[in-house]
Formats: sequence, C-alpha cells, structure tokens
Amino acid sequence: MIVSGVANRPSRLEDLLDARLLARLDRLDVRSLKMFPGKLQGERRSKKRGQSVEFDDYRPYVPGDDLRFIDWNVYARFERLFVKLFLEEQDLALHVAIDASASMHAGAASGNDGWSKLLFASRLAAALGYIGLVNSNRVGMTVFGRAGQDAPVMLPDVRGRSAVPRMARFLLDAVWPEGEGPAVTGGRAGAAAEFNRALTAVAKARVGKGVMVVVSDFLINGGYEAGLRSLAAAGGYDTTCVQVLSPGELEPEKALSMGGDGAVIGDVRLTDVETGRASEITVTAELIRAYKKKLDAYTGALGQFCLAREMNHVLVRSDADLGEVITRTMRRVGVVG
Amino acid sequence: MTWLTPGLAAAAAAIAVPTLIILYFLTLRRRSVDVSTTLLWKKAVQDLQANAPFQRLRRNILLLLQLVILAAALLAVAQPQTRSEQPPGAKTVIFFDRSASMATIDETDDAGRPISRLEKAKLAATRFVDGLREPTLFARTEADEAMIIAFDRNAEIVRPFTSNKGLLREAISRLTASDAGTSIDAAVRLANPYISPRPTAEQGMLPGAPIVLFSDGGIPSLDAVRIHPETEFRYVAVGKARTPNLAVTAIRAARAFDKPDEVSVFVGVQSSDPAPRTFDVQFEVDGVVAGTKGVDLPGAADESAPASTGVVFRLDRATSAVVAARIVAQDALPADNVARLVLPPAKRLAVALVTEGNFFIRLAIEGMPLSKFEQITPAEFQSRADSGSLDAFDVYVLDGFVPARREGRPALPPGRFLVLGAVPALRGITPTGEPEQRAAVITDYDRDHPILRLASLDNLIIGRQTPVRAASDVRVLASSTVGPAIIDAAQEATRAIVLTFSPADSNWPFDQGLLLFIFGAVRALGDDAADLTAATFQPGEVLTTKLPPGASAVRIARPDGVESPLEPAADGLVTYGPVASAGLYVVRWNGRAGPQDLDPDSGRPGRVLAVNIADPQESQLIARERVNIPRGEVRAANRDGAAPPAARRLWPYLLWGAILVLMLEWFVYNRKVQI
Repeated sequence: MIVSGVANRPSRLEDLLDARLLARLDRLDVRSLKMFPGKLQGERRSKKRGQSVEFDDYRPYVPGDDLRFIDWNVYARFERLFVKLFLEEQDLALHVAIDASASMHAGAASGNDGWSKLLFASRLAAALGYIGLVNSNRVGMTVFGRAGQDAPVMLPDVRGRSAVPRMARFLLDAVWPEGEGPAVTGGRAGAAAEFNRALTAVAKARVGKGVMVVVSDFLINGGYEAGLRSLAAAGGYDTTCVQVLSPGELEPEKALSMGGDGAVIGDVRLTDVETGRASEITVTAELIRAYKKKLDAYTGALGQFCLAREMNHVLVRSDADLGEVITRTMRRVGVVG
Repeated sequence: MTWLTPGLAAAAAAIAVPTLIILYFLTLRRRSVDVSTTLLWKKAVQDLQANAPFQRLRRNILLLLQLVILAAALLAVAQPQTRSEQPPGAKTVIFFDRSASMATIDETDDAGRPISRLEKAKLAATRFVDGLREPTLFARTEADEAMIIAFDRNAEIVRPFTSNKGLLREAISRLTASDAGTSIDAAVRLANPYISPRPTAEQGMLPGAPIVLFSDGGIPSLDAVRIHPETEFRYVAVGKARTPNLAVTAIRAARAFDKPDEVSVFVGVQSSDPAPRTFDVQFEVDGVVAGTKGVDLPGAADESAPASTGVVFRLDRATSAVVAARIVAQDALPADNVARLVLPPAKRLAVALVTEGNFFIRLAIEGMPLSKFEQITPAEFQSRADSGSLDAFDVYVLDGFVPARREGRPALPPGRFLVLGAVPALRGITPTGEPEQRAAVITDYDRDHPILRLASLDNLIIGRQTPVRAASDVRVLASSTVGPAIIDAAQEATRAIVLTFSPADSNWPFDQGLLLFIFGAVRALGDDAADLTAATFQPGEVLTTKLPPGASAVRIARPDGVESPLEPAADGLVTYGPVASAGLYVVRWNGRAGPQDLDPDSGRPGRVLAVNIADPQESQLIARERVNIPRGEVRAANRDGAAPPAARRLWPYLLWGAILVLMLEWFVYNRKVQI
C-alpha cells in the first residue's frame, strides 16, 4: 500500500524485460478479436482480401481487375477468367497508454522487485511493444499523468524489430526520466482531468485502427469514465484496460508482512498521494472488510463499464509474474496470441 | 454504600472526561501512511458511519479502556464506603476488660475453635474498629476516632484517640488478660474528660463520646459508676454464663503464739459449678507437695452465690518457706487454681526498754515471747548510740526519753523505736507547745492498723499530752482532742511509733489495750510482716516492701523470669507495679538481710512476694447478657442479632481495577500493533 520511490531506476530494456522473457515473447503476436485493416500490408490477417499468400476464394473476372491475379490454370480448365482472391495480411496498430501518475508508485517498498505498479506497467508496456514490433506491427505509446509533466508524452508509431531500442528508450525516458525520481507524494489535484485529457488526446491522435491497451490503476478520484468513454467513442480500437493494483491495495492488512511498515491498521493518517489530502481514520478489521467490498465494487464497476463499451478489463497484481500475465491473462483477453 | 466526596468526583469527572476525549483526538499519534487514493477508504468509512455517528469512538477499544480507567479513578475520588451506622467524625471510647475472668476459655471463634473471652472480645473490638468511618483522602476530620482503655483493677489508655484503624487494631491485638480483679472506676476516671457532655460556645452542650464496653459483664459496682446519663453506653458481651470454675479464693497462715514453729495455713476454695464437685487441694511447701486434702462442694445455687469452704493445712516449720495451695482439677480459668504465701521464719525479737523505771511497760514487754529483753537507762542508750552498737536489739522502747539532739545528726539513730510520752525530732512531727495538763479523749483512730487492731482506744482518757502537728507524710494512727496521739513516723533508716502522751498520764495502764498495743507495736516495728498475710498482694496492686537499711542494687524478678531494677527510697521502701500476673516475685539486693529474708548470709539476700488472684468475685466467671449502669439496664449489643455493618473503603479496589484495566489496555495496544 505504501507509496515510495523505486530503489533502482530501470535504465535499459534488459532492466524491464530479461532475456528469458524476451524469448517467450518472441513466440507471440499482437492480436485483436476485431479485424482491423492497417495502412501497410502487414503480417496480420485482415477481413480485407488483398495481396497475401493465403488464398481465400475465386470470383469471376471483371474488367479492371489486376491481371496478375487471374488464375490461368482455371482458365485453361474452364476457359473462363477467374480472379484469385487472397486474404490480405495487414499490419496492426498497437497503442499502449501508461498511467504514470503518483498513485502508480504504490507497492515499491522493497525496490525493483516488481511490486511497483508503475514498474509493472512499464514492463507490461515494454513486453507488449516488443511483441508488436517483432511482429512488424505499428506500436505507439502514450505516457501520461507524471508529476511535472503537463501533457501526455507520446511515442509516434514505430515499426519493426529495429525500433525496439527506440521504444524502450522512450518508455524509460518518459516514465523514468534521468536524474529524477518518480513523484512520490504531493501529486497534483486534478488527476482525473489528466487521465481523461490524456485518453481523449490518444483517441484524437488515432490514425487507423488497432489494439489499445490502457495500463493504469484506474484509482482516479474524479472518475475514469470520461476518458474511457472518449476512447470508445473514437472507435477503431480494440481496447483492453489493464488495471494494476498493488498487493497493499488489494490486502491492506497484509502490507506489513511484505517488508514495509505500511500496514493500514489502527490509528493512521492516510495521505492521498495524488491530491495530498490526508484522512485520519481508525482502521479496524471491519473497516478493512468494508474497504475490500468497496474495492471489489469499484473494479466490478470498471469491468462493467468496459464490457458495455466492448472493451476488455483485466485486473492484475503488481507482484504478478509478467510472463504469466502476458501468456495467460493477455492471451485470454485476446491481446496477444 | 455511601460516597464521602461525591461532589468532588463529579467536578473532577466534568473536567477530566471531556479532556480525555479531546486530548485523545488531539494527541493521538497516528501513523502516516501514503496511499494511492483515499477514495475507497472514505467510502468504506462512510459506509460504516452511516449507521453509527460515533463509530470512531465506539470502535476504539483503547479509548474505551482509558475511559474505564478514568471512571474507576473518578469513582475512587468519590471514595465509596460501605454503609456505617456511625455519624461521621464521631469519637468513641472503647473500654476493654482485661481482668482475670477474661482469660476464661469458654468462647469459640468463627471457625468453632475454643478461645478465651479476651480473644473473643478482641475479635469483636476489631470488628467494631473496622466499622469506623474511614478518613477521606482530603479531610481526616470526617473519620471516626476511637480511644482504647484497657482496664482490670487499674486502667490504662492503650491507644489515645485516633482514626488510624491500623493503630487501633494493633493496640487491640497487643491486649492480654491480666490476673487482676475488675474495677471500671479507674477507666471511667481516665475517660471522663471525653465521655462527659461538654459545653461549647457555639453549639451549647455537646454529648460526650459514647462508650463501648467489651467485657464479660462481671464488673463490681458498675451500677454506681459515675457516667453522665446522656452519655451513650453500649455493651458488647463475651463469655458464657455459669461457666464452671474452681478457685482458691484465700490463703492465710498463722504461727501459734506459744509455738512459733507450728504454722496453720487456711485455704479458701470456691466452686461456681452448678453441679456438686469433688476435687483435691494440694499443699506445697517450697515447691514440694506436702499434703493433699479432698474437698466436697455442693452445686452453686446461682451465679453470684458460689459454693465455698475452707481447708486447713498444718506445718512444722521454723524457717521461712513459700507455701502454695493448688486445686488439682481442670477448669475454665486455671490461673485462679493456685495461691501462694510466703511464710516468714519463726523469730523472736530482741527488745530493749530504755527507761528510768516504768513498771507497767516493763511488765507488758516481759510478757511477750522475746528472744532477749533488757532494760537500760537513757545514759546507757546514749553511750551505745554514740558507739554505734544499737544493732543488738530489734526494737528500743523509749519511755519518756528521746536522745539529745547532736549537731548534724538526727535525734534518733537508725533503728526501730517505740517512743512513749516524748516527741523526737523526726521529719513531719513538729511540737507546737509544751505538754498540756488537760483531759483529752481519742477522737479517731485507725482500727484496721495491725498495731491497733486489737487495742481498743474508745475508752482512753489522756491527762497530759504534747500538742504536735503532723505533716501529711507521717501516718497518724490515733488523734485526740489535743491533736495527733499516736504517730507512725519514719526518716531515712529510722522508724518510730510515737505516743505524744505517756501511758502513765492516762487511764491506759488499767486497760488490757495497752498491753495489746505495746505487743502489736513492738511486733510491727520488729517485724514488718507481723501479720503474715500482709505480705501477699493481688494482681493490679503495687508491690511494696521495705528493705533493710543500706540495700543497694535491688532487682525484682517476675514470675516469668524477667528482671527489673528497683530504686529503694531512703527508708528502704521499694515499689513495683501495678503487677499484672499472679505468682511469686523475688526481690534481691546487696546488703543486710532482714529477719525474714532468704539467704541472709549470701551477701545478696532475697525476699519473696506472693501475688494471688484470691478474688472470689472474679473467680465466679460471671458473664452477663445485660449490665446495670446508674441510668438503667444495658443489653448486650452483639447478642441481639447481626453485628453492626462495617465501613470498608471501596476506593482502593477501584484503583486496583484501574491498574488492571491499564494493563489490559497495554496488552490490547500491543496486540493491535502486531496485527
């Protein structure tokens, strides 16, 4: 639950994704349950028939068709011209939006061990980006909400395995700027506005269609609805909301056993790291039960909100194994396959 | 239950409780925890608070425990006590009977074990003290006070007025039964300033302190005691009525006049047993059983009329001896089953008559059984006195003669003198004129004095008497119309019985009274223990005995072996006591031995003084349910029903409770922190 700085700031891609994980990611590709055409022919099957090696059907030749697609063997047998139709394989646009607000620093008490929500989000974004790039998809990223950063920082679409270092650099620089620790406390008010503005900006900046992954804790005082709604309204994206929560947020009473001193029990002064407002409460077992009920309701409401807008919602723990999350959870919701 | 200072506690509570709650919130040290958002927490808290506005208070067990502690402390400040019957600040005088009868074992304690009346009375008195109102924390004047006066024949304030129950209980626990008889007069005299109503300027007459008497009720002349009618008198009775008891109530000895070696010892015994009793009385001489006689006594008719009889033992004994009579039987009060007597040796006196010639006197003295008699002239006496050889005779009878007064020396040398018809210059005797030639009759004389017990002076007519004035420190045995006629005077080592008239100038020679007087006076002078029973004392009395001149380093040993030094007066008189217990007291000194003393040749002679209960009334072991005082009958307060409720401090328990809750709070706090 405690929010604190990360002991070791990741500075290289290897800090985010180790070689074993990369090897596992190499076997995956970004998928979408929706079929979206890309601007370029890519490696992704699209509903659009076009130029690819995968045959789909024949249709009678009409003047104007490309003569290169006439199946002359068929003409020899039937003496009628037929044009071969191929399933056109298109590239896929993957966009990962990363919430780097102060609340995402929760769970980093013992350093770079995967508990920080932001670290986890960075790694998840890097992994998805890597999968996208090695499969020749367009990959774009947006980092928003970071303290001291007025507008979202965007990585314009990049493509190809060679863009992996660029993507990694962007991610590291945008989320973990050099010489600056992540904002810990005293975050700005208006985090909700920031979130919604960022997602609106992402929606507006959309070029073509693709897969959108929003990585955030979605713990936003003013509500996440406006941002997600603008994403949905823009259409064209197969959106997945990955809600990352730290163990302390999921089980406040156990946080102490995780090496920190932040067990939320007894008489405590809770400070909202985003608004800076403190609340003095006496946490009892009953209050914790009520909190968990509220948390369940909150995540449930987020899930319902997403479902209603044909978005996926995934809740992951920041201490979860990233490989498992990618290969199981993300595959289950169809982001990768 | 009563509250001594409820107002104070209410005021303290009005200040302390809100203060605690406010301070609790002001000073509560909350751990600061940063969280991603307080959104969910707020919602959770709102949910819980929806039905409970004081959720934070109600759910906080630490604050709750602190409030409990505070409540206990505040209740303690109110000083609750269980209810007491006494008005606050009352003073009570406790009369505690410790006479011999209180040693009777006829009571039982709470566990049913047999205990003495004294122990029972101590339990009751302790319970009474427990019931006194406690001092408050802030004002000792609210507390009840009590004074304890223990009495037997004498009385003693064992604890002056105090509200300190510990001191009172300790004083009660130290009380022991004496062997003395009972008299409440001295106790009443001691308590009189407190138990009598006293006038005050503001409130008029205030009633005196109430009296609580812890006794078996066997108090002679209680109905004549001077207690103000308005003084409250409570009686707490102990003892069972008609407890059977056997007692030696008297012991006397007499040597036959003609055969001094033969001694008769008369022993009085009594039984207060309603049933007839047959028992043995054992006679001991110097601790060795010398005889036993059986006694049959009928049943006592009632409590105040015990059956009694006498037993006589005979003994041939010329020397000194300690004899004892002992009842061989078990009863409720063993201390009165024995009586002792010191038997002086059979001794005949050596008497010298200093006279120019007096036939009557010579005849009277010659008739006495003396070891030696001599008649000398005043001149011879004077020369013997000058040479210091007056020791040859025990008593000198000076007939119409006193030695000439020498410079720096008293008129009479050390010794014992019967002076007839002359007035020696002794302290306390001052001649006021020349002998008067006029008839005088005896107006008053001490009929009980051993010298005059047999010699009636009623018909004595004196023709010529020297008027003297007697100071208060000399004893006038007889007074005539002219003035003191017979004086017992002493100065340093000199003792003299002085007749201020010559028997020849009166009609006394024609009366056998003169013979008896001279006989008694010579014997009294020569032997302080002429009446053998005079040397016995009763517990509660002051032991007095006159040691030979020059006695020094005097010590007295009690029956229990404890020795105390004594300082003899100039005339050899030593006093000790009042003594509490019966038995033999032995006085030893350095110097000359008297004629009856032990070990006369050892250089440290001794004298045994016997102390006997010998109190028929005390030995009846009377136990009364009601006693009579001048105002009327007083029933025993403790026999009507339950004992009066005790006032007990409850606030210490509250404070202990507060400490316990404090420990619980500490435990809860630590447990909570470790979740």
